[in-house]
Amino acid sequence: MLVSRFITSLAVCMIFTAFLIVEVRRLRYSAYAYIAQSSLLVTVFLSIAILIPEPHFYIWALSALITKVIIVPWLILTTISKVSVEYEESPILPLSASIIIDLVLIIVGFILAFYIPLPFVKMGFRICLGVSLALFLLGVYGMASKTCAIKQTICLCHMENGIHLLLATLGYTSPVTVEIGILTDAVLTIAIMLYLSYLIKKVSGSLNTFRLSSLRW
Amino acid sequence: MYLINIVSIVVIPLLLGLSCIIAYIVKYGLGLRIYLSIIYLLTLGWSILLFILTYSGLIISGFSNEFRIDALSSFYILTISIIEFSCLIYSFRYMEEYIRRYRLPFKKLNEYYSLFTVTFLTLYMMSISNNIFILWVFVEATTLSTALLVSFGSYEAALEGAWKYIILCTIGLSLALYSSTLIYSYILDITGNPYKGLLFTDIAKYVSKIDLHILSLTCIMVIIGYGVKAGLFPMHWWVPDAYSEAPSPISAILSSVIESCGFYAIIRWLITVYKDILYLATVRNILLILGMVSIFLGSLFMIKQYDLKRILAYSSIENMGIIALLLSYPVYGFLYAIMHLFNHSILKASTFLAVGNIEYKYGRRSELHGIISDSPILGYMLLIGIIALEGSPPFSSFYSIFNSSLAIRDLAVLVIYLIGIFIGFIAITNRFIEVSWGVKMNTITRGNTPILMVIMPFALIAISLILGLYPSLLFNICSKCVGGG
Amino acid sequence: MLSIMLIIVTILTVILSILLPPLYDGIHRKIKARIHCRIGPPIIQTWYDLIKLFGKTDISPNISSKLYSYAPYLAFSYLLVALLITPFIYIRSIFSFTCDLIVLLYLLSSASVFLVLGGFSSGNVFAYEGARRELMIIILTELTVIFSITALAVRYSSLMITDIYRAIVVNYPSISSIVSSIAIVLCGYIEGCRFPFELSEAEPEIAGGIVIEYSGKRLALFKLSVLIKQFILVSLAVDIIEPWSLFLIPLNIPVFIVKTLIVYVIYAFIDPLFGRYRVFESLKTLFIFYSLAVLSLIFAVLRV
Repeated sequence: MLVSRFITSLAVCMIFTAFLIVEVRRLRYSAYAYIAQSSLLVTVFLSIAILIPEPHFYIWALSALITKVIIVPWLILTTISKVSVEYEESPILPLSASIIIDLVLIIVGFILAFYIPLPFVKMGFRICLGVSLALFLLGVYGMASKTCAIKQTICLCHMENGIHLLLATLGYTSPVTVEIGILTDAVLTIAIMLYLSYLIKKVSGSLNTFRLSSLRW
Repeated sequence: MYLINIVSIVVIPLLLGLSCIIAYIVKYGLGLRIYLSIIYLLTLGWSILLFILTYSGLIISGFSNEFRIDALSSFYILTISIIEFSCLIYSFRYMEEYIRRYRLPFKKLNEYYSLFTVTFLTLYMMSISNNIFILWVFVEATTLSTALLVSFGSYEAALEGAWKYIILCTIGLSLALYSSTLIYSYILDITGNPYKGLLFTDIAKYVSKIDLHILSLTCIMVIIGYGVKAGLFPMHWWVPDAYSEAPSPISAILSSVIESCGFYAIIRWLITVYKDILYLATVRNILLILGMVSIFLGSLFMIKQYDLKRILAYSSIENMGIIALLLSYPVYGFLYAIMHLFNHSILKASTFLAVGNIEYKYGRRSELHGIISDSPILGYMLLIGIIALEGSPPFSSFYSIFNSSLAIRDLAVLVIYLIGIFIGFIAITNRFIEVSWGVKMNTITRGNTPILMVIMPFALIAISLILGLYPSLLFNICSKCVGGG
Repeated sequence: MLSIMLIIVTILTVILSILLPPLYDGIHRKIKARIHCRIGPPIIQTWYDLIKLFGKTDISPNISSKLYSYAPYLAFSYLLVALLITPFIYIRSIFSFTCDLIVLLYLLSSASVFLVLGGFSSGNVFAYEGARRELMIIILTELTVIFSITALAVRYSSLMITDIYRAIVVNYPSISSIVSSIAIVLCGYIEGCRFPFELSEAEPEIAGGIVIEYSGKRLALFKLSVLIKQFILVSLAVDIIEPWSLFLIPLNIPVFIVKTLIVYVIYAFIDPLFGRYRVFESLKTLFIFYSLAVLSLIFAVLRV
């Protein structure tokens, strides 16, 4: 009981970093918030490894550390300096409306987690399921409503964090190859999206993806 | 037996992987082209052999059932090999002109062929994998390699198409990953064995013990998740942009193979895990509604399009809607769905390549007319391709589009289905007749289209024609896929 | 025996809560001055100012109403009642009763409203402007405090402050309680009318704003009310984060003074960093604090 309380407390802290990632305007700080969130995720993996106990989770934690805390933020920060854009342009919604939508999505995520009949999820981990759904929904909302290409990429990473949290809490006995495959995929997706953002900046002069609307119907 | 396993599961992927690296490193020239053609031809030959073997009932598996090739997989691998081979031969001449027109560095050609082979590799690995997570990883990998190919021209519209493609596909595939995780942990809960929930074949044994609500929920998530890749209704927004702005061979690959890979994943899930709940109203209705809305969306949006490739993109959405509709009728519908998957791949690829020929010759894709008076071969190829695509009798698509109405048992659905198809037929034929016939244009053309580029669409249409004249072969193949898989 | 101790505790609470806030304000001014590289006033300067004000004549404008005359007294008396019922240095005070959390909320909000009403009824245009700005800020601040306190009540299933302290000591402090107290601390900073939220008394812009017409006793009580209101919020937050020291009888007063001192010192370091926010900027920041309170409510519902 204490174990699941500890893990759920860690997971809940990820919601604060989620807020920061989606709302903060300065791209670098958003990336730092992503580093904080990934570190929390690695801590969750480590505590699962130590406390449940589940020995092969050490490899999960190590691979998550290398990919999510070191490689992906390094890629993002390098792209930010290459593109030399510090602040994202204002997104579609003003800050107050955006915060309200964030809160509503978090509530929806938790409602979904508690009301979908999933008999195999132990009570302690229902909250982790809720956190994972909330992170997923926040990531999708971020991708839909932000106009800056790099911000959309960071929201995508954030969404992947939510999915990996779910994978860890529900399927923590799956073999290591699965996890490494999924992580490599995530890193490659981010790398390709950042390369595309760099090309967008080079070709059209700004990172605004909404302005690329030459194709209407 | 052991030799066959090793070759299909280890040697061919290694060969393809090696070719990616070689294509990136070696300087582009005749040698590279010959090497790639040989490798693709070898793979094509091997896939024909695999297909004949699995048609007679053999199932190839390796690495303790992690990889498994049955009739459905080998049919799909055959489709991939045919189309990839023809697009490769086509792109030899086409890409040189493309590089010249968009003023890209010559090194980009190496990237192109490397990514092309990576796509082939990931599609092959996807179709042989039996593990639900590895399947997902390779579907995601196809998204990545094709996204870079879509943005190949590096101009604004291409980047927009690639960006929309990669964002929508990643979101949708995450939903599919959610459902895989749910099924895995459910089976973990039931059996207590962590390795039992990973393989399709193992999951199929425990399906009867899973709660019905969870099966329906995950089924809907799989359909919507992999349906993004397939271009079904809620998430079809990336299809017109990505198809029209990619280079023609890549559009052909996208529309024929990548969309069907989304459906391959859905069909694999439906056949192994969701066989029984397909009779449930909720899942059937969702497939039905998604299919019908996609058909109408595709048909109606086609009416006002002037860009040839965008029309074909919306036609793709319509055809994917047809497949989804057919999938919702469990027994006969499956047969026709797989048949349509194959037919659509071949014919759509040939049409995109034909449009690519026209783009090569005239330099643009819209405001064209009088092509037949100018170059009759290109014009007639285009027209025949379109008629074949829309399901006219001597071609195999007749069986999958019109004969498949035998499988649809509700009269209302049948009527709406036929109306949707007719609207699409009218829209697309109208535009293409306007393009082909009429007065000759006064533009500067490029001269003779290279013979390699002209042959490929004809070859693909010919395959469809032959299969259309001997329909029983196709029926047998598809019933083997449904039954055995 | 117990009730004598409770009477002593309550009297001590009231005395401390009136003595300490001006001293903390003096510390705040001293630290801010040192950061500005000047020597600054002595720490008891705020008390000197208040005592001086008590001796000055009290002039009221002709057009002001009775509300203008009574508002500072009303606010101060409401805050005194709040001090009597809220336990700061011990688990309970002599007047603790079952729903005293709601009454505390009511008293705090009413005190804020009376101060604003006093500004509105001064009859001066500058006072009207300052009161209008203060009202906008109060709406979001009070909403944040309400949501934080609701989160506490939901999480520990009780509306009595004593029960909440006891519940936090028995179980471990939950994430919702920590987040609520962070939200209340942030609101406490806003109530103190310091940069960047010094909107109601913006000297260069509206020449004193809300307090422009007040003088003498009324001004002293006005300033004291503002300081005490901030002190109540800070003490509540600080006791929620760390309620264990409330049980240790001789040590609880020094520990309490140290805790609140730490919070005020942190406030003092925030003040020199900012200029004054304009109204919509301050509303944006307040919205972020408000979302913190909503998050704590969500976590409280989840029993995290």
